[in-house]
Amino acid sequence: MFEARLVNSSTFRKVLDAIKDLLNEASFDCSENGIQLQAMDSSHVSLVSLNLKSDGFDKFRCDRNLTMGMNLTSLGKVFKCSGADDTVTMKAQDYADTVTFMFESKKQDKISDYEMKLMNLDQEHLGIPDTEFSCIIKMPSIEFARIIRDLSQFGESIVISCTKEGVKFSAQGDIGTGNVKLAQTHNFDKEEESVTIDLQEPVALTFACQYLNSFTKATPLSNQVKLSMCENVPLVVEYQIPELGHLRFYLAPKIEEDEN
Amino acid sequence: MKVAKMPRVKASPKKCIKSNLQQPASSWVFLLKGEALELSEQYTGSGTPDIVTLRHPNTGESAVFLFSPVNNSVQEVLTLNEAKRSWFIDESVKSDGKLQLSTPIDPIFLVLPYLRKYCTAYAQPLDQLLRDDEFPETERLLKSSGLSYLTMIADRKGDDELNAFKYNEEKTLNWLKKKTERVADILKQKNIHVTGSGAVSSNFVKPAKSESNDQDAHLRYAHGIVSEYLMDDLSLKLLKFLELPEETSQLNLKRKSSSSTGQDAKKPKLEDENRSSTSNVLDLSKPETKPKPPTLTTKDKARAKAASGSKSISSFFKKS
Repeated sequence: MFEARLVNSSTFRKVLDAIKDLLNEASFDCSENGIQLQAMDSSHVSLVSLNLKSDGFDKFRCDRNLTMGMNLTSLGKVFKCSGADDTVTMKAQDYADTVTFMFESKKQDKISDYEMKLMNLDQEHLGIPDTEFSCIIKMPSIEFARIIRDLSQFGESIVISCTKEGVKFSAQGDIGTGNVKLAQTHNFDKEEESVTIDLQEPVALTFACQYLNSFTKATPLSNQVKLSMCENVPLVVEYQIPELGHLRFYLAPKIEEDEN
Repeated sequence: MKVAKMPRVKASPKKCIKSNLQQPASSWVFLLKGEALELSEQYTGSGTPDIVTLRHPNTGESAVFLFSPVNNSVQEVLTLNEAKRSWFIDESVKSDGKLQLSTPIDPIFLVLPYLRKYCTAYAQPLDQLLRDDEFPETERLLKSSGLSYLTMIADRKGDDELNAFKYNEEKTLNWLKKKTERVADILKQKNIHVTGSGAVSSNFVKPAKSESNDQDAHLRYAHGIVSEYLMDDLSLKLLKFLELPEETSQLNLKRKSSSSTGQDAKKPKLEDENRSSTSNVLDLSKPETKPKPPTLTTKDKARAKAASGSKSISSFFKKS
């Protein structure tokens, strides 16, 4: 028997909105530690890794490890039926082929439940090694989304280069070039608005705009985003989900073509 | 002109046009490959090749073949007929403008239908097998030298003297596959245009990418040519064996211009459907919605484009 209750269903809805742009379907692995999801996009260039801790839920029970393959479009339809401040409860039997979502309104006067069919997805799990990153950038997630959106107009790929002066995002294309430089700022009153750079050595990597744009769909989850970069290692874009866990996106860097 | 259009490749025949001036009424123009006329030194019989009718391996109808004087090689006779054509032969005109052409054929193709019909369950001596009341000349195939390779499609049973064989489908398909691949190679060598749709300029240079497609197209076309000498069901089996998809095979069907193949082509598909539905019933593990084959939406396509130039993410992480 699996049961997970979350008073704030909108958090789960935001997670779903963040990943359904990249993934069409995914397996949710439930264990007593919580819910994990790991999946690659259809082009196998990026990896989505979601971790929701069990103690972040208002009620969590998982007697037996369970993998639930879900179509995220269908899951999106289910959550569209929920109200903004509903409480959600996820339920599934052991070895079940369906999962039930129950939504309760705040005043407990309306209860709706939806049962969704599960899918058999054969997905390979990738072991993600611990990496010593050359630089770790923390910045406001809205700012990151804005920069990526702006620069997407100029080219298909964005170069993120980080030096001790700051971090520079640049793109070039047919109409011209665009550059955005951010310096470190500390805002002690509003921690979430500061830009911090933890630099071991300078690094510059190129990434596909479209993927970065998809990652920024997670912006509503968190005020801050953490970018971790290292030469020849995928970029990690991490959004903390308050009290519940984190959502990480891994993106393989583009192979430099400039020399050719 | 007509000859050049034929999608066939053969050794250029030595032109020995036989014209019999004494009886111009029953003469034909016959293009013959030289070796059919050559006689071995030991041979002392009448020295002309014989034209006989045999059962055609594809249609089962009668067709004209030509035996060399010593029976050791078989050639098939093709007639090219153009209504408004006559021949000038020396001083006279021959109004029948037909051109007869003969090309060597592997006698195993001619034996194959008999083997498939009578020798699938039991072995049978070859001399009994090739006794066809309708086509008594079939027996002459026994002497053709190509028949010594019969073990390519059949298993020899019992004594060598008995000369008995049992049909072996696996061997046959392998043998046909080799034949088809050789035809495909020649098609490629001679740069024969095989993609069915539309005309292509002769100086159109294909991009290198389409090479694998090309290979398939050549193979498919070659399969069509080989199928002209096969029964329809065997031709379909060969198509499967070559791992060519069936549905795009209109090209072959067109070549063969036989309506029955269309129906045959549908049958195995139906069986496939049945099989998949039954296996679904038997599959007890989560019989719910099967993962659909990945359909590429425009979003996926755009993403695939954006992904070009990036390494696969799985190359960075170990599979666990």
